[in-house]
Amino acid sequence: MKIDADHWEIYKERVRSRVVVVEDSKLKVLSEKIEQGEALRVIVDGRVAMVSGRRIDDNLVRQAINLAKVSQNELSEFPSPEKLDKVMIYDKRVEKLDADALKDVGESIAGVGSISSSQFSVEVIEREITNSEGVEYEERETSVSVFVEAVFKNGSAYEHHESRKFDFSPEEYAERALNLAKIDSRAEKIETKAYEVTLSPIAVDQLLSNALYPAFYFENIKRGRSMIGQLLGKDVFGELTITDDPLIHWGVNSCSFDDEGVRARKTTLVERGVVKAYISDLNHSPDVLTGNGFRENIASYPSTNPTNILLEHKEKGERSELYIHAFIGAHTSNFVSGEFSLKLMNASIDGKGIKGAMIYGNVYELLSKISHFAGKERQVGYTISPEVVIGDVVVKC
Amino acid sequence: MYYEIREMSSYTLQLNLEDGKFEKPKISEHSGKSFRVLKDGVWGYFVGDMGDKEGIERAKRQAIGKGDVKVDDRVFRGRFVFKPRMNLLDIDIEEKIGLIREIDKLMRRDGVVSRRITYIEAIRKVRIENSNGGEIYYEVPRCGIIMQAFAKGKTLQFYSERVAKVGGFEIAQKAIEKAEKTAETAVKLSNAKAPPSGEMNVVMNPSLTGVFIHEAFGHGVEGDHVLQNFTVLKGKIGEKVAHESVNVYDDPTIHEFGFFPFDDEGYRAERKAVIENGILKTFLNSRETAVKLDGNAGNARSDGLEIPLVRMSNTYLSSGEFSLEELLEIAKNGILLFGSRGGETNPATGQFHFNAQFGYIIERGEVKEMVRDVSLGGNTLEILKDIKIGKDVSFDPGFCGKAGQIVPVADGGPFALVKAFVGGA
Repeated sequence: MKIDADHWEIYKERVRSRVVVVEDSKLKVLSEKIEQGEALRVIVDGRVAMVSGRRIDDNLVRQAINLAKVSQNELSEFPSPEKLDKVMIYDKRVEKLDADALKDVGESIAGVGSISSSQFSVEVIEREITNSEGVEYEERETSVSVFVEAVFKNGSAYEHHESRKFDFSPEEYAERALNLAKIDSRAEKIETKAYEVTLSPIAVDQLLSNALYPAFYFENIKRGRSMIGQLLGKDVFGELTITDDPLIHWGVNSCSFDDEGVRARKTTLVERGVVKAYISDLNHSPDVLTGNGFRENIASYPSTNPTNILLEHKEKGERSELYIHAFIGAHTSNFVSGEFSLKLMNASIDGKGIKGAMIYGNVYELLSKISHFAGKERQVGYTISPEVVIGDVVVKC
Repeated sequence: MYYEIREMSSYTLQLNLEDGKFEKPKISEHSGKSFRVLKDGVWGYFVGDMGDKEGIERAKRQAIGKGDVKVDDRVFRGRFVFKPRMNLLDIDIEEKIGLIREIDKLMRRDGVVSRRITYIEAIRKVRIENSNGGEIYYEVPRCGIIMQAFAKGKTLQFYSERVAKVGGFEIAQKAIEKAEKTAETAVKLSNAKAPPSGEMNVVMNPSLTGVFIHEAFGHGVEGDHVLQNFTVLKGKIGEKVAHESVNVYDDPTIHEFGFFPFDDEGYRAERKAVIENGILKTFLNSRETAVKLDGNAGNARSDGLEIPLVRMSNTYLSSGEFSLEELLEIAKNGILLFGSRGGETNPATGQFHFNAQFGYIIERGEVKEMVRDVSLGGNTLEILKDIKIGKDVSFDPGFCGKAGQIVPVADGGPFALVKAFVGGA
């Protein structure tokens, strides 16, 4: 296959996965998937275009070059090779989990009872990137995850967990979901007023992934879709420190290179409240690369995404009485303005469930009011954080 | 033993104009096969590049253990090729670019700090064969444009409009009618006030009514949610669940964005009356849930080669008797809300929450100042008991996510008056 372009890049991904699905506390599906895809980006006269398919062939190469001729997406070249920092993300024991092992996990989750639906998955992912600049990187990673939804009478709740290793008990998450559903089934309204609230790591990730992290993408700053650009160097977030760190061993989103062959590195976004930096992909990069170009799937262009976002705060303490497990509608938050308006899911006060409550406000103001962190650190999605306790939050009921 | 073989190929072209520049153009051509086997009441599923015999064998090896799954194995045979007025592959790329540029020109104005126009065309070809001799094939093209304007006034805001349907390039051409309004609304919104909050009268525009019916109600009638005890509507067939003026339909045969001729289990698509005169008539079903819930299958869809799930198609609240003026008059005071920035619902409790794109205060039956960042929440069944429905139904396209799978849908309805909880910053 000849690629008649000034510069080119081929990204390959091969995913082997197994999933067991439980429905109404019964085993329903066991699946195995072997999927592979390839994506080609070419640069012709400083303009980039992309094609993807199961395999890149001459026809797709031709289409990529034709598309580059109408593209106005400027990119001078792909990254050059660099020495990569190795990070631990592959556990070979995960490869050995077969259909029988998954069936056993499915049955143990089902055995908890009142499980509306659950999915336990194991994945082995191989990523490979080569480009005309000489980059030839490959990496193998593993992922094990569980999602459980429990329904008890008229209460419901979910839990989920993801790890690079099978180092957790899926039924423990099923039990947690069931306990939360039981609390929810007895939920009552509370008085509308300002409370000190504790956000669980799930709630923290839901809120910040939608209302805050995209504001740190250099592309959004450049296009006037974020306030972070104007806040650089300013003290905005109280005592909070926010770091994007792909090099944490066994981090759920750790990697030694991003999906466009840029070396992975740590970026401090906020240091003790002061906005320090942003993250970017190659295409929308400022002078310094940050290695945050990731593909949603094989057909997607790399775009800016966080890796593992570590939240730190100097104050540690106890949970408040009002605890928020999760939100409904977090993806409707507005990262452009930072404003959010969210319904609470499985919130409780002093262990008693709260019915139909909402919080709303601005994420910048909310984070400046963090009083301390509580409990154990846990990674949920992008975020590695313990529970976050915030004072003076109006809960409307 | 029941089995299915599904072979799919897809083609997609996406063009993005960001602030006047063509960025991230891409073409993708994917194909693959999935195999599904039902043995001892458990599904075995396999996705991989393999011959039919080997693929079925591999799926069979996954089907271990014992379950209680049964299927409606009705046989359908047929072929359907959707013929658009302007075939996507016959239109030169320069013409597509020209249309996007024209839309961009109409979106330029003072106050707009950033513009994004996304053009998408896709063709999906599917062949499904099952162990009972069923075999279907279909080809469906989809085309659409998403316009987003970001404006800076007192606050930074964005507004978006989507035009997308099953069909050819003629669909995208219609987006031009909405370009100016997209930019104008974003600018107005950037100077709008924060909304009031509390329980109040809410008049939803057709787009928001559609999202309400889809999010707050539709997910509750999906058969898998019923079997998972994950809906407040379980066991309510034949019962009154809404005001007698409420009629809700799911119709994959309408040529909107959620169209399909056969579902992803090879079952022929048909219109379903979900609520008629306030009475819950049926759930939406897959071959599996249809058996347990004594309904008709035809609502199983999948994202690519994922396992088919019970999904909606074109879901709408049918028209009622009130004009918009009458609804405003009845509401007297409250809020008039437009569009949606997405939402989420918990079918198990009936609680829903979503954000409107913008709204207007209603005072003494008159439309007053604009408000931004406004959300809507409440309990579905309580709201449907006391709803007043407007006259003209229109549809909006969208992408619905469930268990990590995204499928194209359309939601529709007329203006409607409800009492709900409004929140805002």
